[in-house]
Amino acid sequence: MCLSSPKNTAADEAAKAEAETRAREEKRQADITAGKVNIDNAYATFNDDYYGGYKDTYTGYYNPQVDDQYAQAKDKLTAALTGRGIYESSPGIAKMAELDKTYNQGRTQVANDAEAASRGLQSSVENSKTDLYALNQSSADPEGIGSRAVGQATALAAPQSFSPLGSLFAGLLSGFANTGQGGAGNLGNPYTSKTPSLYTASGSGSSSVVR
Amino acid sequence: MCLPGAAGALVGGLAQGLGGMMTAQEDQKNAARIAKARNERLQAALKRNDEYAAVARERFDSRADEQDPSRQDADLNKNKVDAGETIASNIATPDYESGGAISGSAPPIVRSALAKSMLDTFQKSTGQAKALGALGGYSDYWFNQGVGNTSAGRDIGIQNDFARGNMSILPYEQDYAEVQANKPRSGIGGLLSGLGGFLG
Repeated sequence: MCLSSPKNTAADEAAKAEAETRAREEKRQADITAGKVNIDNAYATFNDDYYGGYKDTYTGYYNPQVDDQYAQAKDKLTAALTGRGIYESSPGIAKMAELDKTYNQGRTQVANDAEAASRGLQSSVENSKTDLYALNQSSADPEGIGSRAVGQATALAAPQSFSPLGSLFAGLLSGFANTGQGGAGNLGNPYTSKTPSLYTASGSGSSSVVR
Repeated sequence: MCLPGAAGALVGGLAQGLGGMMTAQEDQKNAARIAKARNERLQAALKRNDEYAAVARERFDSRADEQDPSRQDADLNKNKVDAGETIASNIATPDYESGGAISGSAPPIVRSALAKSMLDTFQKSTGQAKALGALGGYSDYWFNQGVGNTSAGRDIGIQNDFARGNMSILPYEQDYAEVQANKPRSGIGGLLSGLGGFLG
């Protein structure tokens, strides 16, 4: 009769189960690492150059609108001031300076808004990436998360629609337009300056009025 | 086999004692093996987690360096200047040399006054733009800090997830290790005890 100890099948099963458990956890971690790489690759396009380009696109869209409105407002103001004979006077110059100031404020606002819009986009990108990282850790499915990352990155990178710019110079021109003397474009009552004019005083040659 | 009288009782008692001692020793050794095996799994898990912690710590330290107090002022100032210059650069430089759209027949003093006015306006607007940019620089700074922190948090979160994964399977690994380390009693101690009882 053989008295050798019987084979410990429980120990063998335990060793096998332990190896499987460890292997599954290691695979899960490797999948998460691969998923992270896929997400990072999909979002690699969102770098400083991308956000800089986005700001340029933003200003490129709004600057011409500001410029157009400025040109139109300048024509209207010039006509209005000329019509009152104060274009080349202190009040006229002050009004033109106010026009320029409003124009500069418009361009300043556009640049500032471009910065804010860029930060908003970057914030969306970062939030999206954070969500994907969380999903990646839950799913440990590198291919699935890679596809999803590419889809989201594409959606984020798609051109966004911008609202047209509102009227920048309406307030400046309203003093010349709202007089009830006619239709649109009527410049209304002549402007009456409360400031003594330096250049429209009596006497020849002190000013030149374009009519 | 039976021994007569006192000799049988003596031998029986000795055999029982020896059997009990052997059983106790085997139990103790088995418990020690199990404890050692469980501890080995724990140490292995902690070692793996130490490696994850080292990666996470390196990422954290790198991020902390970026937020070093000595760099904060410089970074903030850079954000303020950059934002100011970016915004100011969007202001169109006026054609104040020509006096803008004023007619060519205007007296020099008028043209000069208009040019001066345009230049003043431009300079004031540029100053305002830079001031606005400086104000926005604070937002940019905190935003950039937030982005950096979020990114570091994501990376550290993955290492934490791996560590949690290791710890979550640790109890099972220890149970499996216990089964592998467990060695049944040899039976000799029990046999001696039984024989001792018989003799006694």
